[in-house]
Amino acid sequence: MNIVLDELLRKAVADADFRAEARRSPHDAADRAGVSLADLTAVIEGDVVALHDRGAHPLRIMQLAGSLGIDPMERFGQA
Amino acid sequence: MGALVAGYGVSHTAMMIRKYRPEDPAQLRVHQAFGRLRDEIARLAPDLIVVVGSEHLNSFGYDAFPQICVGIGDTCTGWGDGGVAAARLPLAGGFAAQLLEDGLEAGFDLAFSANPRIDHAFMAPLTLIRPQMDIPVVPIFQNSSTEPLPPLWRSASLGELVRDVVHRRPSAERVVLLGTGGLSHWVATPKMGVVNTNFDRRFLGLVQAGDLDSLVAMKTADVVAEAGNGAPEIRNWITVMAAQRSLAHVFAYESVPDWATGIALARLFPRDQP
Repeated sequence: MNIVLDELLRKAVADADFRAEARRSPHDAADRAGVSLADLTAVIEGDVVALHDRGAHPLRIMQLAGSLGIDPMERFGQA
Repeated sequence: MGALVAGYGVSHTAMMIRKYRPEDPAQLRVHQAFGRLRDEIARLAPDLIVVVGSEHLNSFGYDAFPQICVGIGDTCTGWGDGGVAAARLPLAGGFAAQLLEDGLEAGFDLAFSANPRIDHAFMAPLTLIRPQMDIPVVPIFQNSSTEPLPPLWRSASLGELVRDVVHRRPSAERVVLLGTGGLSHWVATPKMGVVNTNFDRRFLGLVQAGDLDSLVAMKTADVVAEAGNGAPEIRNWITVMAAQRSLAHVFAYESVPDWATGIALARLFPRDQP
């Protein structure tokens, strides 16, 4: 379980403004969330494979994929 | 005294609604099987349906995460997640309250959620089985995905509690049980889209034989390793099976990789059409 990353995912799924702000200032957003820049980048880019590798909860990954309009099965298949 | 008139197990992926393609024979057969179940439940005309589904981190989060939670109050409302339409349903609050009360005496400190929001674990099958959404439900959320997972025998014990509550109800309620989830599937992993038909057929063989003991003896870690991180949702079927031990009738089984899961529908009791 990666609680910090999962909580970041929850916020990113629920709050489009947060996602937009994180895109504009990723270093600040990563610091505030207490995650690495790589974690934050994986979230805002919807990199489901990286999120899986980093221990994110699969259901949080699915929720992010849904909010970004990503087909996770396709992305995992391409990896 | 209430009566358990029938119990069912069905898969619940939202993709069977969002990604339904009737030109695919397997997908069509799944929907046809749901149609048979819809007709059967309409004939049974239950007073309420106890729906045992999985929590998908939609209704609860890490601030408070129950292993088992009962919806109480007057209504429950779909989240509208996964492409499944949101709707408001009546909730059988009297039954739910008694389940909480009786659970305490039976060693179940059940969590509760008042007028809960419910996701596709409940809404996807209900949309296909009872689109009118007019039969009161009692939603029971079970943790099927977030470690640590309870052992499967605990889900069987929950089914025995539900049975006892039905038998202690003051009125002659006709109760249907519906367990939703499974079968083999991998969620958000590199194996997403794989279906382990060997596992699914072995599981359904045990279901048909009413072999609850063998199912309960399975370790959740082994289930995950063999059938994917979504497969522990079979615990919701086990809860229904434990409420009334019986041979079962499988309406349909299909491997549907497009929906990333093995899909099944079964009448868990009684075996013969009620």
